[in-house]
This record gives sequence, structure tokens and C-alpha cells, in this order.
Amino acid sequence: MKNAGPSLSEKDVRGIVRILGEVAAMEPSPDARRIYLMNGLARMLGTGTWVWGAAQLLEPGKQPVYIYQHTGGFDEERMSRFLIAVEHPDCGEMTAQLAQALISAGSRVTRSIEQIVTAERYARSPAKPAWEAAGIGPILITLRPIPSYGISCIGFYRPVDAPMFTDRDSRIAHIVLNEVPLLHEASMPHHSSRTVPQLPPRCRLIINQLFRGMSRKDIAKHLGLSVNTVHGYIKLIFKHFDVHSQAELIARFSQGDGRDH
Amino acid sequence: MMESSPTPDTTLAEPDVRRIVRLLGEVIAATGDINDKRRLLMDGLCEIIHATAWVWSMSQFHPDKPPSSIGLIHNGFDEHRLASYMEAINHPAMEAVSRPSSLELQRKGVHLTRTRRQMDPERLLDQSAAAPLWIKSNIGPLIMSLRPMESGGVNAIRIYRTLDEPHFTDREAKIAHILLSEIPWLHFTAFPDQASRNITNLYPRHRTVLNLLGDGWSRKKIAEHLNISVNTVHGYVKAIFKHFDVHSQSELLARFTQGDGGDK
Repeated sequence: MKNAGPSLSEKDVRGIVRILGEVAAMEPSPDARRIYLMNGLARMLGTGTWVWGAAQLLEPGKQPVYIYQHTGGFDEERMSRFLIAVEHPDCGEMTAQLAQALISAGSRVTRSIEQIVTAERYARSPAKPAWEAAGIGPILITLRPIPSYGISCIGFYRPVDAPMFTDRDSRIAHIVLNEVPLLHEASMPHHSSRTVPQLPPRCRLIINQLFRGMSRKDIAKHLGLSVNTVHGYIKLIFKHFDVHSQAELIARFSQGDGRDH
Repeated sequence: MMESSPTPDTTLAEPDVRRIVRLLGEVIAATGDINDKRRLLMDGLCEIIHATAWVWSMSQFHPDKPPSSIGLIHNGFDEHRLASYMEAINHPAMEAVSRPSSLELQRKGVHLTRTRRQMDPERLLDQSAAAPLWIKSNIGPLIMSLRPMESGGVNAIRIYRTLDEPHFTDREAKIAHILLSEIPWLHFTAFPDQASRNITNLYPRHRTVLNLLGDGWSRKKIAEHLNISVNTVHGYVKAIFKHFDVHSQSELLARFTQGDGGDK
């Protein structure tokens, strides 16, 4: 073989080309395209479960507020458990470092978490039981800094006992996520909260549940809280984002189309 | 799957994959209709595999008839070369040259991509009476992609190098084969579903009227059968015109019979 460098099988290249070709033929709706592409990519990576989220970086070293705008393969129950896992302080610690390192380096490429956080570190993370409760074992996460915005995050997840993602999986994810900027950059949720202190993890979780259309009653049930407590958290969220109704909050996150900055 | 995959376990180097994916990313991000996107994608493909011209056409490949092409879209030719090229493809001697491909296409009825050496191993073209015209149009190595269309006929995409350039390498042919076989719309006149998607946006009553018009019914006959007044039918037809942005019934019907219902 004359090419000693990394390569992909023709079958995988065909798979990628087929999905991208289909996306190119779709109506130019960034959201629909992203969901289609992510579902196709997830299938190639042997999983149906993925999230796409974005966060504005507020304060260095602190955990950003990720809004998981698009997800695949989650029902409500599992999404709640996912949100609990992802808001575990140790996850914040593992990913915030990575995000900050990327931003400071002025990097625009994707990185997977295993390039920064070793498998051993992850295996003894106190957040691991929370991931398992969400039925999640192997994780493939890529982060990409978005200039003058923050960071976008794409994660693929496999069930607890499933085999780890391979080099081939991670290569496919990186190639597509790096070379198709649309995936990370179009249609960023809009929000600004530069002047306000950081939201508690519970609130970050609840924003995502609201964003997914869950009622306050359902949220209370999923989190084992009273409806009044949920009301209290939501008030905090309104204050944080300087909005006065749930509709205004949702609009704030869903109307950004990424072209206005 | 496609006829064009030679061996299942070949690989492509990561830099090549990145180039292909980046090109497709640009096509996804580009605005414009199918022809704009096709142009962008074909130009980009030619750049990756160092080809200098490409031609898209609806064609007829019948073993017993001269090969013919209409509706040519192309890039990379100057006027002089293009004129010689048109003469070359329509030269009577081309019938014998393209006969093996036409027979294979007829037998298999699936998409084929072939290099010049695969298509014409005995170098019939070089010995044919059409050879001087091909030389005049400065065409050397080529890759041809033939796709039978549902509407009948064959869509052909040809990628060319000039006479003095080397044959396409296996790597270059493979890249072309992958793109040409995995992106079916490169061969289409409209994006799949786009015409039908536009139709689905119509009210069912409008769709019914549209289908009947397409079947050649008069407005009066439609009114009678749907039990509505002719004036109501006029109103529906107006709404349909507006939906498809046409100004006459003939324009509307042409839109559907010519397969470009999705160009808005």
C-alpha cells in the first residue's frame, strides 16, 4: 500500500457520500438538514442515540449552559436521565477543561473527549452511575468552538454493554463534523446572559426539559420534586435570561439562525 | 449494490475523504437549484480528480441506434472544442464504438460507471472514422456514468481530460465512481420528491383539479364531475398557477411533463 496514513473503507466513504448527497437535495432548512445528517451519521456509527447542543461560554472554567436543541433516540424518561448525567459536576469538570482549552487555542477543529479525558479517568468518574442510569455506556463526543459564540457539542451514545466506539467510528465522526461546518454552525440558539451569574445545574436541566416541551408537572415527576419547586426554578431561569414568559424563553433559544453574527 | 464498486474492501486515504466531504459540505451550504448544485459538485469533482471538462445529458443508448444526447449541460469547453465535440458524439461511427456499453446497459439495466479503457478495451474509437473529431475536440481519457431513468432513456455524465493528459488512476476513477453512484440526483433533472413535495403542499381539492387537468380534462368536465361550478374550478386553477408560479395551463403542464416541477 502506498498510502501509509489513515484511511476509510470504500463502503464507509460511500455511506458518508450517500448521506451528504441526500442532505444536499433537501430543502434548505438548517434544522431539518442537521437532524437528517445526524441520524444518518449515528446509523453509520452503530447507534441511534445522539445529541446536538450549543453553549455560550460565560466564565472561563465554569460549566457552560448547553441547550440540547436536537436529539435522536431519546424518549422523555431517558432524556431526563441524560440531562441529570450531563449536569453532574464531574462531567462539567471533564468537558469544561476541554472546551476552554479549545477556545484558548483558537482552535476550530473538533476534538473527542477521549483525546483529553482518558478512559481510566472516565471509568472512575463519579458521574458514571448517572450515565448508566440513562442507559449510556460508550460515548463519542466532539466539541467545536464557534467564533464569537461559544461552543457546539455533538455526542453519540451507545447502550451500557455495547462495545466502545472504534478509531474508525471516531474518524468518520471527525471527518464529517470538521468538514461540514453547517453541522456545528448553522442555526445556533440565541441567548445572551453575559451579566448574570451562572445558573445552578438543576436549572440547566429544567431549561432543556422546557425546551423539549415537557410540562411543569411532568418535569416535577421526572425529577422527584414538587410542582412548586419547579415553578421556583423556572422563575430563576426567567430572571437569568431576562424574559417574562415561557414562550419568550423558548423563542429566545429557537429563533437564532446562526447568520446574524 | 452499484455496478461500479469493484472490490468491497478497498480503502480511500483520509485526505481524499476530507476533500470529498468538504466539497459536499459546500454543495449543501450553497443556494440555488439542482443545476447550480450539480455544476458546483461536478466542477469540484473535476478539481479533485484533475479532469478539465464535464458534460451532462439525457441520452439514448440503444444497441441498434446511433447514440444520441439532448439537453447538454457542460463546463470546461471553449466554443471551438464544444463544436467539434458535438460533431464527434453525433458521428455515425460512434454507433459501433458505443455498442458494447449499450448492450451491457440494456442487459443489466442498472447504473454503470466506466473509464475509457474499461468501455473500449479494444480501442475501437481510435480506429474509427470519428477519431479525428475527438482529436480535434482535444479529448483524451474519460470517465462515463450511465444511469437508466424511470422515464425511459439514459442520463449520461462524462468527465474528460485533454489528449496529452494521462489516463485516470484507479484512485481517481474510484473517487468519481463513488460520487456518481452514491449521489443519484447528479443524474436527475429535478431533486427527487421536490415536485411531489410542492404538490403535497396543495389542498387536496387543488391536487385533484391538478391531476385532472394533467389528464387532459376540460374545466367544464372537472366541474361536472366534482359537482362544483365552473367558476369555482377557475378559482382553484388560479390558486394552482400561483402555487407553481406559472401563468398559463400549458406552462403548468409543461412543468410536470418535463420533470422540472421543483425548480422554484
